[in-house]
Amino acid sequence: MIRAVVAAFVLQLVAQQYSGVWGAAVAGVITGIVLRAGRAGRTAALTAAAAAAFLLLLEVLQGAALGTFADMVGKNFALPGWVVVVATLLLPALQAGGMAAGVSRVVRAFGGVKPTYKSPSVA
Amino acid sequence: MSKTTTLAFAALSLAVGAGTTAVGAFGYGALPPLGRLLSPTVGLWANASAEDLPASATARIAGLISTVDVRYDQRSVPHIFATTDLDAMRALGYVVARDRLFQLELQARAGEGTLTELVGAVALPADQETRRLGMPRTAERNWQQMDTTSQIGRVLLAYAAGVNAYRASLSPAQYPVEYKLLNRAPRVWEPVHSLHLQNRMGYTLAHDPVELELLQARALVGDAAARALFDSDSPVQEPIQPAGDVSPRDMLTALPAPGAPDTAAARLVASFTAPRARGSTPLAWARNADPLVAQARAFASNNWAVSPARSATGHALLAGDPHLELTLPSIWYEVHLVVPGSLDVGGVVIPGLPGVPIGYSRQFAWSATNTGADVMDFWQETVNNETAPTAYELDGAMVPFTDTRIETYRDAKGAVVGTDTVYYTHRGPMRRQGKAWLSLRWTVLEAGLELRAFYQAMHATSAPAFLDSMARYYQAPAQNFIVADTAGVIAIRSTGRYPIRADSGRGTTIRDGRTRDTDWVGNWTVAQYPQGKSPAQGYLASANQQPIDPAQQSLYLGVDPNFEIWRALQINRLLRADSAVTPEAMRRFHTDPGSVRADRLVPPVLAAAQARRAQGDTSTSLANAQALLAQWDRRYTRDNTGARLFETAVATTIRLLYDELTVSGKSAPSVTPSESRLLQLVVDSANAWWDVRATADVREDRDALLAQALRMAYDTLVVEYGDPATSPWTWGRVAPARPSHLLRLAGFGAPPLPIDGGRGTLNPSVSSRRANFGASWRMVVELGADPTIRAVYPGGQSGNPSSPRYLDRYAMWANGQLDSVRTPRSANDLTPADIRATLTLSR
Repeated sequence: MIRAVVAAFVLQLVAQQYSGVWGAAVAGVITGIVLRAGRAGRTAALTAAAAAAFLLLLEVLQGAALGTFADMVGKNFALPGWVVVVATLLLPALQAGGMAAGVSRVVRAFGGVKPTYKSPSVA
Repeated sequence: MSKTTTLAFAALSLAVGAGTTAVGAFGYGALPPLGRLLSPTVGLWANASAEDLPASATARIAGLISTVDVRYDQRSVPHIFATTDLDAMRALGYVVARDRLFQLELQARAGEGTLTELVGAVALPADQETRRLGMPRTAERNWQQMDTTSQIGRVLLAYAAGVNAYRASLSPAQYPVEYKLLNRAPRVWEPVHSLHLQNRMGYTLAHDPVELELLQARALVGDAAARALFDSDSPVQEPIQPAGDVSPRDMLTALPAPGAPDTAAARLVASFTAPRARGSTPLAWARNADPLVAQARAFASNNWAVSPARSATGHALLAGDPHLELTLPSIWYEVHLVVPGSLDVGGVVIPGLPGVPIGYSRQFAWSATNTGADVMDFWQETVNNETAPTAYELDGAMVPFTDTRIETYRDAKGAVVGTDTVYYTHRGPMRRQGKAWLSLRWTVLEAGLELRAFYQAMHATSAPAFLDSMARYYQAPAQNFIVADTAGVIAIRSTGRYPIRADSGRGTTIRDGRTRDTDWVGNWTVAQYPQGKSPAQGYLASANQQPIDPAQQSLYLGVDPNFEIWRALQINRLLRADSAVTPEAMRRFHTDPGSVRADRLVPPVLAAAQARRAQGDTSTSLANAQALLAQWDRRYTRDNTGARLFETAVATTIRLLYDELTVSGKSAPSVTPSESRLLQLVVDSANAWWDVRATADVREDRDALLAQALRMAYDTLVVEYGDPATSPWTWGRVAPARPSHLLRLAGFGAPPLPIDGGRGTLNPSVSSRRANFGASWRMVVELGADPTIRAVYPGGQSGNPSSPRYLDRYAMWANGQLDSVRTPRSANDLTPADIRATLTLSR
């Protein structure tokens, strides 16, 4: 199970790093197909958000003043900075989670494949 | 769970995933593509961490003759060491684009009238104004007619090559943040874009439809009263061209009372403002006359120079501070160009223009202020067809238009958001104005050699040679160029093309377009330009005042509303009082809080309040206001508490005073005379202008109106800022500087900082919801054997809001300090400790 989560996380990292705005969704589709589990959507969503957070952390390590810049960007839209950060994490989570959940259900409905692992909440 | 239910959930999940992905990639309606914006790797966050000035970098520019060495000093100023002038221009284009790519495009589009293609239909009115004035047509024609193998043709091409080399090196993740917010990509920079930008500066500095303002005034208060306010000289003369006076010359003649409307003018205004064809708005070419807006518009500048005999160091001194809208990034970008044997100049450039408008060389330094000359005239035309004209009447015949352009405005996706037809007579663009047709002639539309002027002047070796280069080529917008050199010469010349009119010789009436007899008949000669060279008084100064005392020369150059007297009076007062001027004193003068305006207008306001109270006015507000104003030392220091009251009282006075110029149903005058007219009125206590029309049964005099304005101002400010007894109206709190982002994005604007200065002072910074104006660059140069330069501008070299170089000069500017400017002769003159970054450019 942990291996699957780690794999999904790495997949998200690579996809978001190199596939831009499509990355999280593409990685979500792959996650859904590979896991085919009932928890595929949640796994993809969490790992997508985690990957985005990790990539943001890398920006900080490269010198980005994350909070300050988030405040600046948020102010342009009359929003607090933390909303921009949350949106940054939420968007890939919705993309990946939605695609993974949908694809995994379709695969299960037509392929009758059993879940390949149990998610942490049912372990 | 049934298969149907599973599929339903699957469809729902996929909709969420696909929907957010689609919105993320493409946006939806007004929602921008959030995925592109928020992606940690390619979105906004990429701009947060991007090291926009790496310690060492290399790049290629096609066409470069040899390697160019660029060294950024610790102030992030690029020192460009090249072997040819054209290589220096290529490098200049590259380094400017590197820091200011979005600004380059935005400003050029403003002059091109294509802002809608970048920011959408919100910019349509601005683009329409630009194109109806004929500005893009002029730039396009100038470029088409330019020999691309000529000196300036090659300079423009070289500059564009530099800009485009940088642009081509960028991945979408590296685009400036503004492009990401607008979901746009940088466009290719064409040489003509520099010419569009040049025209834009002409619009900013020489757009002066004085005849429309006079016409509106005549329609309201009659010819005599209107001309006294709008078609006359400044009431105090402290000219740029030294007149040999030891003090300003007052001409405080009595102003005629507002009279009956001039019916002919009223009919003309009515015909101009009658609702009619598309593209026509009421007196659309006129300036915004709302006193609040007018007061916020502080397009102004100072420059002055001191002869060695009056300088404590024995060297000529020069100072300059152009006042423009304060934006982030700044309108200026600081550079230094070195081409051995040809060029060694530094100073500030306008991103997009390959020249140094204000700066220094090894031999001299120069600065500029706006002349304010009237160089825009209007003619009423008669056309052959009111709906689709093809010809206009001229000397008894219908002659075809010289040009007819269909202007098409497009949005960012290429969709048409508007169209216009702009006709051109032999004078210039013509537009429908209500029921009438007006054409205009404007020197800005007939200029085009300004870049050549700057380029030649940068190669000059003395102050007189610099001014002569400028005089030979420079036409618009007219500028008061001041220069001082290491030989001790100081000189100034109001340089530009000044038309000579037929008939009255003045540019204050709309002329009959049916005859060539009303056309311009020539231009001033250079000898007639306002100028001075090393005068006996030991200094020269300009601050947008009337350049020549009419007692010295009566040629028409412009009218009082185009000029301002306050800062000229103040700088002359300071310079006259100092017979041993130091560079440090010059620095202090830039932010000197003294105000001749306050010194001359506060006493009558206080006297009026005192008189009214003596007559029985028991208003507590008036008593409090009087006490507060009396405590003020009339200096605009950041901690003073009286200036805000005075400023609001003046604005209120003007609104009440010129109520006769307010059209019924409006709250503000249609046109507003210059503030200097107050000097004539305060010495004329019973003048009918003081009477307020709304109080038909009472005839107010000066004291009544001034006291009323003071009381109203006090009450207004109590509501706005609280009781001054408990919440003082400290100037730094209620009138801070606050440069805003070019796109008015609140998050990318500067935080408010208190400053010394205000309207009428040498540092007339004003900030409001509408605009922020002030000293956009300050420079003090001591012309010793090796010139010493100190300078600053508000903001920083980088255009990236997250860069540490975006605002690094702001606090220094706000405090009135100056930074030492490095002037290395070669790259080796900079030690490693001096260098912040290097850039090597090769073919």
